[in-house]
Amino acid sequence: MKNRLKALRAERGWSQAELAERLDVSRQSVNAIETGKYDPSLPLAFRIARLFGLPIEAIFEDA
Amino acid sequence: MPPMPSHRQIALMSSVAVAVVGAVVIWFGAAAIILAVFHDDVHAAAPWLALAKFASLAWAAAIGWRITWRRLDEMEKEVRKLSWFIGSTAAILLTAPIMMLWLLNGGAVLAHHMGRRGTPGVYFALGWVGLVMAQLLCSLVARAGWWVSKR
Repeated sequence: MKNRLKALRAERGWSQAELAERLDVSRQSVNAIETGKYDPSLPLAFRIARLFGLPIEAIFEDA
Repeated sequence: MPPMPSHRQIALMSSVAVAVVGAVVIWFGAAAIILAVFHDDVHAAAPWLALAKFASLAWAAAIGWRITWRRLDEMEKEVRKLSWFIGSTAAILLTAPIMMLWLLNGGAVLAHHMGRRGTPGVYFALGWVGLVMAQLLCSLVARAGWWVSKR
């Protein structure tokens, strides 16, 4: 699954560690999601969407 | 003034306290009751005292496991579930030939190595420990493989 997480994080000037702390996950999880190696659960996807103030489909797209 | 502990820190400290206090209460409480029932005959009470000690350790381990599990994020949980599933399956498959080799000639090879120590209880414990160790090892290998594949 493709996503815009890295771009959205860069827009806000956050490091992976900062984003991880805001989402209450590990930095490794953020890295794996950004590189498309791990698909987050629906609750985590909602947390990400809420954090960036965007709908889920604006962040994640079915590859 | 030092900062107030967060909700998570308070929950963690509470859980640790419950684990430690619970384990102590189970161990000393059970020991007191068992010794009273057996009129301080330590030899007769030994199996029950061992059981109480196990219950005390099991309590602490269960709470510790719960604390650890709840502090993992979802990807870590997935890694552990997957690696345990793959590791356990692999361990069962890998240890099966060893068991069959040991059974050749009615387990003569094993009996030769064990000598007089080879009681049924020792054989059972060896089998259990061997399988657990194999599962842990294979699970660690599977977890390492997962992380390498996700780098």
